[in-house]
Amino acid sequence: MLQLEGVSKSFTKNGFTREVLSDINATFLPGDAVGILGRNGAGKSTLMRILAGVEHPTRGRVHRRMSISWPMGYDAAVHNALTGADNSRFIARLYNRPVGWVESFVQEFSEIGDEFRQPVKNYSAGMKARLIFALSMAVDFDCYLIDEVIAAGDARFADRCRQALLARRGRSALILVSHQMDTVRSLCSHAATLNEGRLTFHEDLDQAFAEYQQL
Amino acid sequence: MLDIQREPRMSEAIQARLRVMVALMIRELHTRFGRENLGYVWLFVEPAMLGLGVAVWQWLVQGSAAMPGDLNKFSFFLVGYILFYLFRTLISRSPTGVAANFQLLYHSRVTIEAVMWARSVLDTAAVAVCVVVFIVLIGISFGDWPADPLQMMLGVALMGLLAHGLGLIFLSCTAVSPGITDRLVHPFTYLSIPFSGMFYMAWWLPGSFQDVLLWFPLLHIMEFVREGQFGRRVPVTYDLVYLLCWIFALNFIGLVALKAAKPRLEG
Repeated sequence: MLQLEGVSKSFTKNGFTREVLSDINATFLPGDAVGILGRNGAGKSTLMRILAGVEHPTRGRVHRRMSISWPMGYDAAVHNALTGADNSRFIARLYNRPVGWVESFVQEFSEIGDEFRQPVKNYSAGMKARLIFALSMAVDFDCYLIDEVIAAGDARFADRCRQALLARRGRSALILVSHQMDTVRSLCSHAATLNEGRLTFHEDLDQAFAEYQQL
Repeated sequence: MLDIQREPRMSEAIQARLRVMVALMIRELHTRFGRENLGYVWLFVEPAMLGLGVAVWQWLVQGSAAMPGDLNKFSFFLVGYILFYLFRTLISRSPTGVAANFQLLYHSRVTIEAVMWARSVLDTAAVAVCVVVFIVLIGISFGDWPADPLQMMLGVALMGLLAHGLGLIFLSCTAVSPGITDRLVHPFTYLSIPFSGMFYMAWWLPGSFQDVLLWFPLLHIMEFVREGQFGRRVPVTYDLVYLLCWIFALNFIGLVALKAAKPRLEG
């Protein structure tokens, strides 16, 4: 279970405070596949980072009772100076997985080949996205946080990502933020809209899409 | 992975924290001392070079002048410097604790506290090994072996703890203003030198000086280590209870400040 309890987040810049998220309450259970729709700047990324524990809410609490992935779709989560193999071993140690197994799984799943032993900074954007996704599959999280990951990498890999995520529906929770309704429709069973810092859950996808188009 | 709906048990929580710490320390070793550089050797060469430089300089300047208590000059300044190096390095690196490890925080298991601990433990261990290497070298070349090496190691650990707590406070200050904190940290470490006992011992000084300087915890640590180094050949002045109070207070304030600062630290 992943629960947000009255979560607000504001940033202060140049003495001016802006509230990005206000009083968000939500509960995500294993097996949920929720799409969060929001326009650019609606606070989607901030919400993701709070869910992942990268940032801390200004008010409110986050309860994490399942293992939660890093938010996918950002460059973070891997270290650029380390090789793909080093990063795999670090992740394996961090999440208590067999080190050798993670290494070979990630090398195979990401299809990076010999460059697996090269520093990540030499990777192309697509390779990096593949590495990060493969790492998250190796850890086998209870809950996946995904921010437009489908857009990164080539079409074939995007499809593999989608298949891998669909294969864990019912087992892992999936929280996807997007401004594209197609992405949400292909992966999610529920949807919510994020607007002016408030998160609204909807009965079904169509209602959510209708609401989203009004924004 | 198991679906943990209940609160994890204490022992599980401790195990999980330890695992994260070990992973972080291995990674820190990799990133800071990468394979292409001289590898892990730098961990020891870096403080050693600085310590050596100061010792050689002191030797040249002081010429044949004897040290009070006829102490081994080389051993005295080298150990003093390496110990202060630990303080300096932990403090001066602390304000960038979050910025330099931002990617790590994308893993929900990794907390700022764990990142800071991993660095402090690693640096303290490095300095401890460095001290061991040098006391062995000095022992072999001058026949001057430390009275109680274990006490010296304990002193290194105390220095690590003190600097760790102070580092947490500096890190928390960056939530208010990263720029000002960064500028204040360096003068702070330099200004700490005269109060650290790096170049002197308390009994060399007039009583009124001692009274003032012994307010500072750094001098207590230095005197404690020197007792382990030279034994009862020279008078030492320290108060372990006073020192532990400082360490406890700094770490407590550091943790509380960090908790308060967290919502404003990222980015």
